[in-house]
Amino acid sequence: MPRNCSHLKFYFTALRLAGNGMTGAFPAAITSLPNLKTLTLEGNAFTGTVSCGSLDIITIGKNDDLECVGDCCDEQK
Amino acid sequence: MEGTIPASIGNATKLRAIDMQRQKLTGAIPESFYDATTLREIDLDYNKLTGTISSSIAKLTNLVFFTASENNFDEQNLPSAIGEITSLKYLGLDSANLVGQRPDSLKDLTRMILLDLSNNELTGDLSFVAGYNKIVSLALDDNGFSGTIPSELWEFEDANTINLENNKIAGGIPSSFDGLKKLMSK
Repeated sequence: MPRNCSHLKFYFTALRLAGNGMTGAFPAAITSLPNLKTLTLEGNAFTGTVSCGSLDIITIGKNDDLECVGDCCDEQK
Repeated sequence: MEGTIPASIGNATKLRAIDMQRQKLTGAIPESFYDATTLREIDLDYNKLTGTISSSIAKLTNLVFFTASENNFDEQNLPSAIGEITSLKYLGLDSANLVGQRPDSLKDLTRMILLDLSNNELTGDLSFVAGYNKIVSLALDDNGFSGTIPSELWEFEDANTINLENNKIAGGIPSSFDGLKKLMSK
């Protein structure tokens, strides 16, 4: 466990929400956050659109009506 | 280091930090351990400790860093007394065999920078994080947390890594929140 991370001043480098029961439109702008590298959404019921952006890791899997836009999308279905 | 944590640690009057991670410690944390009230940092990760974390931990009023992940603790509730240690900034109890309703007192740990309670069987809602405005890393994955994500979480400028995977969280994400708007306007 790192002891000193108080110097960090980023905003969402990883957002892992997979495997819940979340619903509603996923705010597309989140994938444009400059520091966001990891986004996991599979196993929810989000709708809307996500783009690959600069993400290193994105998992969408089964979501009710969530469209993926970008080079990373082929691996998602 | 092997064996049990020496009970004599409780006699120490100037001890500020204990780093016993990745030793081969066995047995329970002795009750006298919590008498070492000058302690600010305790790291007991990756041992084979058994028993439970005593509510006497509240005596460690100077504690900033406490982590005891990946041990062989008995099934236990997260003691409500932990919320009395308002100095805590780092709390790591990943895979600590924690079960049941999380204590309401977690909301009192408003200095929290890093909280890792992943891989337990904790239940309850996430309202306690609403006051964690200094949080950098929040790992609550692989539990039974329910309810919605408090809207405040999206506004915390230091929030870096959020892991809520594999719980029973419902609801959505606000379509527009201040932090997102600020970033998009830069």
